[in-house]
Amino acid sequence: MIKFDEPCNILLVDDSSTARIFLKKTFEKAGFTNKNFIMASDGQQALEKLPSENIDLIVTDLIMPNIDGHELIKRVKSMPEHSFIPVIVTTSSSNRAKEEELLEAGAEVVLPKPIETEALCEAWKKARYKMRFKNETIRSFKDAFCDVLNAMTSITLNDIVLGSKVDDSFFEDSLQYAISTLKPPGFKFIITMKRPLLRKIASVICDIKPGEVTEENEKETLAELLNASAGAFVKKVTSSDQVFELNLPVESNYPLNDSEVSNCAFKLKENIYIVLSLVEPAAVI
Amino acid sequence: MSDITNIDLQLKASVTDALKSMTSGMPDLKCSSEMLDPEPADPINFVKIGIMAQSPVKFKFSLKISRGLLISLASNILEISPEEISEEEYMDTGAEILNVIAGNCAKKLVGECLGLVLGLPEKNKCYGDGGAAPIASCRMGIDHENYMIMSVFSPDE
Repeated sequence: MIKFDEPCNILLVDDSSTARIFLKKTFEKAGFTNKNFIMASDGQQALEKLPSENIDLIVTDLIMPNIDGHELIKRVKSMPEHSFIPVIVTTSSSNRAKEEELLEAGAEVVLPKPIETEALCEAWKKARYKMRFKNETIRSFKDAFCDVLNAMTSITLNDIVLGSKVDDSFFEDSLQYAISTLKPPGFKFIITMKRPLLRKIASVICDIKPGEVTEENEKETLAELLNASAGAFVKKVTSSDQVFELNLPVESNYPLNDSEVSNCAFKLKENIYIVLSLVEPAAVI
Repeated sequence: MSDITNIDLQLKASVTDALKSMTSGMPDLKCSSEMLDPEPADPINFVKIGIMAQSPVKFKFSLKISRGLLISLASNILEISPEEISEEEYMDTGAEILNVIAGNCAKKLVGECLGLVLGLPEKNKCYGDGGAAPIASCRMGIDHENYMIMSVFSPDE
């Protein structure tokens, strides 16, 4: 059952004020309530509003002065803190090749103008799944991980960056473990951690001096952290309509910059030292 | 490949569909098959907006609409009383209506695969002003004073 009444900040981007008002009316006509609409007249204004407005969804026109819809998508998707925001494109002039380009750049849906209520509802279903997944699910996983780490080591983590892109250099001297789901199939929980930090955590958990921590201790620690975090996450979400069954953690080497991965990074100063990642099953979309 | 054999019908369908979708509770505009003089009798009371396709075929589209009808449409779409609507608001509405009509018509002309990429609407611009005849034109209105003429011009115009 798709809900249309969840509170949500929607950024409407169009150089025509008529188009923005018409779009807002179409949302209301389709039965959407509890929505806060923020207006921007081009991509430049939209980018300026992103940091302060806590945007959940962007609906943008394609052809606009200054920064157009295509460029806006590319820029949003390259910003770690906003890359998880789903984008719906509305346009009166498009073709299949252009649509594919926009989808490739990260748009969820391309809707022809004038926007029909049924088409908007269908687009919402797709975007809402992304919003829920990118925001709520990764946050739940992050919370579960923080709880587990705190319970096992009394370490508290701060400075979290959601939707973070990971630089290749992060993988140097890092270790990664992944857990996939049996039910529903296709989800993957991943933890990647810098070894110097992992060594410290392993020393606390295994109750040995940092200098005595072996590679085996590190692997066991990371696997156990992931197993416990994924388990805690599953407990959090089993009250909803989704039931998870997990496989055992395995050492992996998953590329975290794939478009299907949503990341949550923990930083120390400018350096990322832990990345939690989720891979969504393509079949769910 | 452009198919302009049914361009009159396609233009009329695009205008009807766009207005039906964008407005609510407006009386249906009547369509007149008779071609009017491209220059309305009283240009002061008419607004002109033009838009040109950027690719793959540079069709040009023009909208001439009486100020009264445009204000009625803007009032309906923006849900503001006609007395409160500014010139900027109704011109913006005219530009968006033209944008939607031109986009829909262009898709019908060149097909979904090619599609047309439109430029930005230009206010106070009319491609027929140089004297060129449109390849298709559609007049719709409420009466002889409140009407609009939507025209398509070939890339050579």
